[in-house]
Amino acid sequence: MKTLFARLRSYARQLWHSEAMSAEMDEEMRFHLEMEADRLQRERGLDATEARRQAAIAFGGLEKYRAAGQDARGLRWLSGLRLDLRLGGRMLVKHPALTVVGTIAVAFAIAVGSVGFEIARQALWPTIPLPDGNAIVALRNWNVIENAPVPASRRDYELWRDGLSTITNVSAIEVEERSIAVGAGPGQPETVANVTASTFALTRVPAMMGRTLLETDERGAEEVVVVGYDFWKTRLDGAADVVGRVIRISGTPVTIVGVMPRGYGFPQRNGVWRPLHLERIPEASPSLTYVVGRLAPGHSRENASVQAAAIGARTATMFPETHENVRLQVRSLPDAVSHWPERAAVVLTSINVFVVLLAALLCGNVAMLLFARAISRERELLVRAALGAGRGRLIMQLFAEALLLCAVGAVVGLLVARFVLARAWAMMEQQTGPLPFWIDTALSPTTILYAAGLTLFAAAIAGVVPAVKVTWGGVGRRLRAASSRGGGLQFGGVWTVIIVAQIAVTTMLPVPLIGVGADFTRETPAGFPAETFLTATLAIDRFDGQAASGDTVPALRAARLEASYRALADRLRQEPGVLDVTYADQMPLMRTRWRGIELDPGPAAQHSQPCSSCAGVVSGDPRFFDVVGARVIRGRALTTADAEHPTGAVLVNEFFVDYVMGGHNPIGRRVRYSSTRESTDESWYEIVGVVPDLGVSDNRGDYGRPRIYHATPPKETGPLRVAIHVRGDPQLYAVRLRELAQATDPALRVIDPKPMPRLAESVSAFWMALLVGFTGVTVMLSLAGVYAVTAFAVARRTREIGVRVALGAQPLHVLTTVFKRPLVQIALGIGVGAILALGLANNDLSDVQLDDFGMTAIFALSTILCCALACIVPTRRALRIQPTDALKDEG
Amino acid sequence: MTDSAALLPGTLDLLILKSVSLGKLHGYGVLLRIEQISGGALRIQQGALYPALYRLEHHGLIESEWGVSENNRRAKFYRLTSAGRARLGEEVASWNRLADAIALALRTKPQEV
Repeated sequence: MKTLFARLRSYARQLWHSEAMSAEMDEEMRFHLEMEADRLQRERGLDATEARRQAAIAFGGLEKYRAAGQDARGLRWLSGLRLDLRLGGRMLVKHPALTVVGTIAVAFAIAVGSVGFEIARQALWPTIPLPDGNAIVALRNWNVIENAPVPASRRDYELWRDGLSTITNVSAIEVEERSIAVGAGPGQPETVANVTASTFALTRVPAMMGRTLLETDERGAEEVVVVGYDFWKTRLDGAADVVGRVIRISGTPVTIVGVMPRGYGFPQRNGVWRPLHLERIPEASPSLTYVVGRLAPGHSRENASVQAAAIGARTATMFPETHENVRLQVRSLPDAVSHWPERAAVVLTSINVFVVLLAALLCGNVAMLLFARAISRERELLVRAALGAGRGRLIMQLFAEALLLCAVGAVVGLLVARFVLARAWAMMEQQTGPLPFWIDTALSPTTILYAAGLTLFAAAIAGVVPAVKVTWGGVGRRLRAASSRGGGLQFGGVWTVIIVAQIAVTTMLPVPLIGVGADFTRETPAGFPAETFLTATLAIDRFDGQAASGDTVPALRAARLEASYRALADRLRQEPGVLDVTYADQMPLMRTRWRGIELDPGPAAQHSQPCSSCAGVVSGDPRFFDVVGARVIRGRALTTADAEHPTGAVLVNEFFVDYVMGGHNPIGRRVRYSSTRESTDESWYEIVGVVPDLGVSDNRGDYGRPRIYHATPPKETGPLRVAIHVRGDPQLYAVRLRELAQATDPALRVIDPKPMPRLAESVSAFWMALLVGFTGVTVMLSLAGVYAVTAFAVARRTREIGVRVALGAQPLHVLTTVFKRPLVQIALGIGVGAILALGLANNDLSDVQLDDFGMTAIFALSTILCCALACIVPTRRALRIQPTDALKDEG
Repeated sequence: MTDSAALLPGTLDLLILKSVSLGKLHGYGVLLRIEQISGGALRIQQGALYPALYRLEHHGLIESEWGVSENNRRAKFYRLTSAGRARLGEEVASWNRLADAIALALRTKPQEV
């Protein structure tokens, strides 16, 4: 081990101090010569000049031993590499087109790879950014019959806290959404963690300002709160005197006692911590989101699991009515909070296989371009070989050039990855709720290392493969071939395979891409003037106060939500510019949740497609269609009576009539929901009317396109989304909506108010950008490859074309001969690609329509056009060449 | 025929390790020490000493530092590391085994065969 360190140290010195080391070597050898000359003068009485001459002879060749000295340190190749990199840098400047194409290709592969790896890494091997964070574990009740977690109750928590000796600082956490108002401003939704004071002892993170929560706060009369860094910065303007200030949570004044440091968001990315008043929670109510603790010193998770299992078994005996099938588990914190690790291994593997394949494909293309460049430099390489450069040396030179190109691409790729990653996490947060606090949106050093590995892999493909090909067969044979000008290097069998594969994949690729893209990019017609509607979700905070006040009874909460909604709707209708207000659990233009359905016996459509009996289910205001201005086409509309007293009446859309009923009259027919996973809902619903298609997507993968509409009162509509019909720009009413909601009920939260058309935009814009980027890069690389092949084929035979034309050959005949090979390669690639695309289209995995084939055909045509373009310039030059000039080209 | 002999291939490293094990030496000093301890019997191409010194240093068997020579000049001094000491022990044992085996083979008389 010691010798290994010594060698690494030696390499490092040579790398950073090579010039100083050479100077030291010279000095040392000079000292030797002078000492020997002194001795010769002293012992043999030689004069100084003769003594120096004799000393030099005794020493041997100074240069030879200097070189041998460098070799002995094992890094002579390093100075060669430095030279190669410098040469590579010049090549990047000299061939800008290749540099741009190669950089984009590698950057693309690195960006995709880094983003995929980083997401998978954070899901699979997260680093908990807390002191000794990996010792923090979560305790979880697991129902072994239903195979699902069961939230812990106060009783569970107390039993675990008192019974477990292998886990310390056992803490209970309840995470909820609350409306928080600062000063006189309107309330805004925030994720609040109600925690026992032990949570802060568990995480071992002190407050940045003020203090953390104390046990006395859990029982104290004064309501206190600790806020996070981001909340302090954004909502409290980073004020220095924030400790002691009062904010309102669901209308209740609470005093800020501390601010946590940047990056602290335990257990989720929450920014507010309140003391958990355990005594207010009913003993057996399963309401705790997390119970966490720290492994006691000297104990492992296995030890703790054994003890937890014993406690779990005892609890099951004590409380069979709630815990008969429940087992207590000790899980890692990431597992309990994110639930990702279970699936992450599969995701990680698939992502990496995809990335390596993508990188290989893209680098194959870059390799082809580099090979074409290497061929154009064949003479230079042969001269180097003739002057004594070995095959390894030449391979190293081409590898260094590719490495430099790939390194530039990697830097660009990592910058892009950083940007995309931030967007991807934001999107994930938008769709799945707050992310775990340890998710870091920046690229980790591990991912940068991974990217470095990918870069080396890319450089190996793009540099070594063409280098081996160029240097194959020995210098002598190459020299003869080059001087005879007949053969030389060709795009041979291996390259033919690469070119054909390249063109095939790029011809085929747009098809699934367009299929995937169709999902996000096809514009969904709203069917009504959606741009005049503001939409938002309403929610009510949990009530504050004693359990006796009923704050844990969902029915009371729902009733309060309904009352608040009705009051808010009345206030809104009195606002100038507001035309009407309505509600539903799903708005048009949103992807609707769908369920399997069953029709009563009677005429229906015959389908072979998957889920031909599925429908999107929407519940909401019976007046919804009136408010959005859509008339019932057939039958009757729903009424308030349908909402208040379940009559079993439902409406369906036109798509339902066409797709599910096969165009038959649906009025009076009955429908019920069925599901293989859930118990069958036995109630039958009667179709009483047909409404127009509102915001139904064009995407065949969306099983919710046939729709069934139920009338429900606001309290039974979950989530409660409101649609406010306004005059003018709906965005202008967003602030007013918050203000009115705050005035109506401080516990009423307004979530994500935005104009209705933007419901369809949030995800699609991002995917659209990715899709365009992906397709664009693929197409560009493919065309660059085609250009390289054809231009190379013509350029290699310029002289031959000139001679043939001079000897009277027909230009057309000459062109046919020259382009035969590249054209065959391109045609083969397009053919294989088209077959693959057809195969893919016949598969249900891809949502491909005839239009998409039209686009594929256009793409194939553009490939051929590009090929033709690549030929024009060199061909024109070749056809104009004079025989004398062609012969002069011999040298 | 002279009294001095050329080095067997691979033995220079062993001699350098032995020389510097006797005390800190600069490169030229190593040469003199080898001549001294071999009774002037071993001839070394002087320049060949340096690649060998660098190789041994690169492998962590000796280490160097700049100092002042006996005639007050700046010189680079080498000394044995603990890894070098261990290697020297192994090499000496190996050499002795080889030398004994060869000596035994060369002492063999016809009647002993």
